[in-house]
Amino acid sequence: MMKKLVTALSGLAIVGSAALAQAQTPSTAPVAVPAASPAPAPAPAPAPALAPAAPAKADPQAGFVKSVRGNVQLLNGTGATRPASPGDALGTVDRIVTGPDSSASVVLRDDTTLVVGPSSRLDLKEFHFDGTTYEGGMLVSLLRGSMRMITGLIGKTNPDAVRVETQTATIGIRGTDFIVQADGKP
Amino acid sequence: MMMISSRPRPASLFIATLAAALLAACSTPGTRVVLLPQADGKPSAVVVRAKDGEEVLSKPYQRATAAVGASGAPAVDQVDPAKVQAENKPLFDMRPPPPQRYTVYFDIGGTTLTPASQQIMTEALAAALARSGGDIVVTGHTDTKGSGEQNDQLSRRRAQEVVQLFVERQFPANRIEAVGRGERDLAIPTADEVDEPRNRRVTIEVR
Repeated sequence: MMKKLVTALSGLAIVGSAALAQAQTPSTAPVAVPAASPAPAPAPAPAPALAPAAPAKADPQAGFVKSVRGNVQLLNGTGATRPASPGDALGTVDRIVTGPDSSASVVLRDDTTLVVGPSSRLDLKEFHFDGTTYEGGMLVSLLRGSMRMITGLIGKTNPDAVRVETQTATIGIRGTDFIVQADGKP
Repeated sequence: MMMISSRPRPASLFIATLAAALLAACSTPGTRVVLLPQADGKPSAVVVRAKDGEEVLSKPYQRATAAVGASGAPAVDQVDPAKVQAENKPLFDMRPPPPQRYTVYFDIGGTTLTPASQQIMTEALAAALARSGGDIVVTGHTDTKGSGEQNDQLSRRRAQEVVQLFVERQFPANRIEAVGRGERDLAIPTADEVDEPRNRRVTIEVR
């Protein structure tokens, strides 16, 4: 949902900047006047001539499965299930389900480490990360079972953007290694 | 296929002591959160919010319990590290080994790696292939000559060149990422517009 919002917003931004560029076009000449005059007008930032509309990169994976013990399944947004193996990509919206005596570890693109304990369900509900600026955010939901999180670059850059929730609590982080256990329906 | 990487690390010992407390909590349905010590010993904290209030855990092995149906803020107590670890053994055993980092440099003004850097590439590749589910992040960096935007692009191109070298050597292309950090992470801090070869580098993170 957040993601849709972000998408919608960036859509708006693109539309907005296009409109702005158009609006500016006629005024280009007048604006580029004496550099010395302390431009009193709302001198619009010179729109880069060829502002490439945000190179819509293909949505990269959120991270990779590092180790698997026992029975571990991945479910994507459409409900398709696949058994997890080391090296598998984890999508930005994916569920990890572990059986009894089973566990798995995942490292996300920003170096966040997640270890999922036995008989657990963990939803990665949202993940985005810009490797250039280290900006990003994530939402992890532990539906049942246990997990350990060792936060990564997003936790350093935008700690408020790392959110962990269960049915009875939400957890905010401040550069951290911690465990969560949640009781819930299987 | 079912590889488990376990690595001995100094922090593990510390953390092992913590594990005992979590089990005790299991009798209360709800959510329990236990703060573990940072590997580097630096302070850290988590904020645990329940329906009607929140608590901050700022000492290692503190635990917050948000019970089902309870009102008010989560209950906080101190847990026995050994018990926490015993109760959550997979969460400690399954933690992946820490990333390995390498740095390579280009010949002056060119796109060819220095001979020493080619050797480093070989080491990084071997490390990545040896790891369970290994992936690589290649990050380009520039010095402070030129604009920030140009340097973002330049650093990304350098990173892509190194990625290409890994792919040519059969590392799976879908498990390697090129990133340009521009002049954000200077190895040698300088003023703006300074030509500094040691800042023109590519770092390789194997994880």
